[in-house]
Amino acid sequence: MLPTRPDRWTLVRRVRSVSWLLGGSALALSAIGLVVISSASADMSTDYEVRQSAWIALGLLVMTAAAAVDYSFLLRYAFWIYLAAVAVLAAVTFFGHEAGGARSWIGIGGFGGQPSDFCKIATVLLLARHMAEAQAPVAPRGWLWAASAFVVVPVLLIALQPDMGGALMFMPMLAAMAVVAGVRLRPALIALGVAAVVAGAIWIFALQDYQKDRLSSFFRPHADPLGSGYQVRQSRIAIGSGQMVGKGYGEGTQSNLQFLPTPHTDFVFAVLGEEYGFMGVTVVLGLLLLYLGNGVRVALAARDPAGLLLVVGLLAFMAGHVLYNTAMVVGLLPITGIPLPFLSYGGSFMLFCCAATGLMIGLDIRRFVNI
Amino acid sequence: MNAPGPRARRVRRRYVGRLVVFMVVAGLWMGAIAVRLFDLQIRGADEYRERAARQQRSEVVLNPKRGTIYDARGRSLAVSVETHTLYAETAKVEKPAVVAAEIAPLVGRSRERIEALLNKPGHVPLARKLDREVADRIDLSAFPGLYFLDESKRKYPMGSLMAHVLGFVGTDRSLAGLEYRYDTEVAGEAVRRHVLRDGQQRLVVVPGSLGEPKPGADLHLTIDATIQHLAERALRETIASYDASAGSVVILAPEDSAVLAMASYPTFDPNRFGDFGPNERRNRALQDSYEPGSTFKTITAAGAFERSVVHPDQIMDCGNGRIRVGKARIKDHKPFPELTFRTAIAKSSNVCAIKAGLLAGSETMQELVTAFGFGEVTGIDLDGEHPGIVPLRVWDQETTAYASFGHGLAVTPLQLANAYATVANGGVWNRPYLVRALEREGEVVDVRPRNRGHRVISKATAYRVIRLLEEVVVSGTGRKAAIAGYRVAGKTGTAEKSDASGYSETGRVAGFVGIAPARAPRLVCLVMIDEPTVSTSGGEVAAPAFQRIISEALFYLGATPSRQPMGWSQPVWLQPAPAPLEGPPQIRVAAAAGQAAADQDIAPTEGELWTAAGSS
Repeated sequence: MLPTRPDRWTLVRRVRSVSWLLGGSALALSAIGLVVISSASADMSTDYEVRQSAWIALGLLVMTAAAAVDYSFLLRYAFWIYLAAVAVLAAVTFFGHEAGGARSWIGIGGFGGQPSDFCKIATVLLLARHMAEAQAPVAPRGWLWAASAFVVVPVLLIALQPDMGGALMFMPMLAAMAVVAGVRLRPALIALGVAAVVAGAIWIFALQDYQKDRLSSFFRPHADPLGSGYQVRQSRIAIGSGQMVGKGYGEGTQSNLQFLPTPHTDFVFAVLGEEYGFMGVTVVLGLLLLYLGNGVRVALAARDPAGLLLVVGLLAFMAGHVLYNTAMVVGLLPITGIPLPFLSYGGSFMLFCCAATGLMIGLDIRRFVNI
Repeated sequence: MNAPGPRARRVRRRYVGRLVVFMVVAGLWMGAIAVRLFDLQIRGADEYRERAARQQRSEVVLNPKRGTIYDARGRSLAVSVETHTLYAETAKVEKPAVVAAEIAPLVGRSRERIEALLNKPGHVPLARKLDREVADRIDLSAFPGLYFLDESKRKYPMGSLMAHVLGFVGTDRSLAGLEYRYDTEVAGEAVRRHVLRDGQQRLVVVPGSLGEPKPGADLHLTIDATIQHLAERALRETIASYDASAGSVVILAPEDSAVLAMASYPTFDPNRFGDFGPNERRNRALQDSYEPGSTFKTITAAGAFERSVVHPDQIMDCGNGRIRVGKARIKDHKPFPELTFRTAIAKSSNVCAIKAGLLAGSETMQELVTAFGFGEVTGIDLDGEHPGIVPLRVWDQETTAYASFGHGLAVTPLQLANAYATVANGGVWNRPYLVRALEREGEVVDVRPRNRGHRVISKATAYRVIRLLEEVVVSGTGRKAAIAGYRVAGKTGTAEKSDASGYSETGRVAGFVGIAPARAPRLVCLVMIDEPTVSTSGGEVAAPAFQRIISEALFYLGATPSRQPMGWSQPVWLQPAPAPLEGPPQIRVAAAAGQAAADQDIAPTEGELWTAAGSS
């Protein structure tokens, strides 16, 4: 059954009820990101700020589209969307071209994208629908196992690329959705133990040497001054030398003198800290909190469990990226390729963020039960 | 999906509860990051800013071009040439061991040393200041990571000429001579360029930091390389033929004591100063002091004339070569009968000099010796000058007697030459100097000593002393210093060298100090030969050297020959009396002695003479 076609007044009401805070903070963050990227990539051969502007423009279209489409429509076809995403992901994993040690890219013209970002949305959609069905008075047995299976397939594919950071980001999503969906806590803790064992196994069998280096260099950053501990240290120096108000636009010596690795993508937060100091970082963290807090508000106002779970999943993805990236840049977590939502340069990830925001806005404007 | 029933409310509460858990976790995490940021950016800010600066900033020192040193006629004595310092950006050197093995023989350093340098991080100088020929032998394209930076290096195109005066420059520092004395002027100002270093250890020049180093000033010396060469050649040959150990020559322009030549032997080549020891590098003309011996009798004569206690033609008893002064018995080098003072000085009678000195008086002699600058550095623009040794206590008769023939005190060749220059210019002592001008970017600054010097003896005294010294060259011990066509005044000296055990039996210092032309002095020249062996007397050893140097130098300078050359001299009484001098004579010695009219020609009476000599 297709959802009822909204009449003229419903549309007006929906537009008027759009939460501008959600979209506004996303836009503000993107704008700040653009400025930082343009400073960080000043000496690079590619005009990253121009490309990022294009991605933001495209992202706005995607956001609008995602907000316009009724999410229940998407939930209905979640399984097929998921299958398509996984298929593309598998194709890229096995036949894609390699960049930065991982086979995770598809190229469209001059622009590249990672299907794993698309796969994130698809997985969240499928899990939201699946877990919402499990909200029936008598939950079907093994719903959590099924849900885990849905997650494991893309995670394995992404880990095979190998992109450990990307794979890792599915975990908070699964955990958050499962907990909100009402998983019993004891089995959850058991699952956590299993996860630890699996992590150990991955460490021993699956991790590449460079990844082990990265992880171990996190614990002893001074042992290897030009290895990956170097990146942690340079990032800390960049942020620390920014002090209270920062060095100003284009004055970030750590990034302009190429001490910082990938200053326009994974370490964009370090550039921000260097050029705009504690103030700038606080503003950005505040905007991110505003975004996430609004997301929670949307989740709580959702008209059905599936919508709530969808928002929780998307939020968990976003929060996972924000928390991991900032923690990694300040040297609290090992370095791995996890971008900062809205700020890092990156096409498909920007599209993912915009699509997620659009879905949340779409949910928000349809929060009234009596359509 | 209608209005929420009780179950829906319960479900919703559970959602909220569980969501709150996540929000709390995320909030705590966010808080941890904020604390960490605070820790980095506020608490540790200075440390991180400093660490950033340390790894990014770097200083490159650009050395200025060192100024050129020119002689009096603009000939280059010390120049800076472009050299090439081999650097290695060690991160880009692939096989340090192989590179070291190939580079080491080319630059003349050990393979181990080069390899050790190549294993250091950053930019390392492998070999400093290589000449162009050496640098050209290194094919940089074969050694990635190696590069050259230009630096200047000192070269002395005239080799050992004037080595002691010029000094030398080490790799980064001036070490001796004028190079050291005028280092602030000649070195110029280096520029420290602040550069930034990027993550790949490449240098990034900061805009606005591109100061150019300020080149050093050029020095213009008073020394004439030709005269210097004449002096050095004669010195070298004299030392060789008399198998002497050392020697020095000083030539001054008498009017202002500008140094025209200053030579020492043994000498060295400043281009490779490291191959020579302190003996060769020693500037004997001002770093060593000797007993002046008979050359000092000029001072005695000046004292006697200044006090008008002795007339040149006064007959004096040379005591058959013996004299008693107090407890001391002093013997002459040979017995002389009664002689005129002029003849006695010409034949270098010690007894006669002692009598003249005692007649002048201990007080006068001590003051005069000090006024001539003995016992004190001259203040020439070179370092390491020895002040000489002059007894400081109030002189008694014995001290005066010994000092009268140049014993019991020590002087540097420069001091003695300068004392003769004082006589030659009519009695004014000037501070000797070597640098007459500094040239900074085309602008020439006169740096000659400003003060005109001080008068030591009257013009009349000076005139008489010169006349006295002419006789030495005409008929006395200095006949071998005679130069055809010119009048020469001078005095020989043969001093016994003193060592730890007293006067040495064999060690002699043969000296001659002369003024030429005597009546219109242009050159004052001192020749001092240390420990000659074949012959030891100043007249035999040093006077011929003087003759060679000065005859050629006068020719070179185009000096007008004297109207009354040597060998034809009017009887003194027929000569016109010295012209009255302009202004009242300002005579330190005379003033100190309380005697106003110093240039009155008063011959002491017979009685006075003997009272003076005998009052022991």
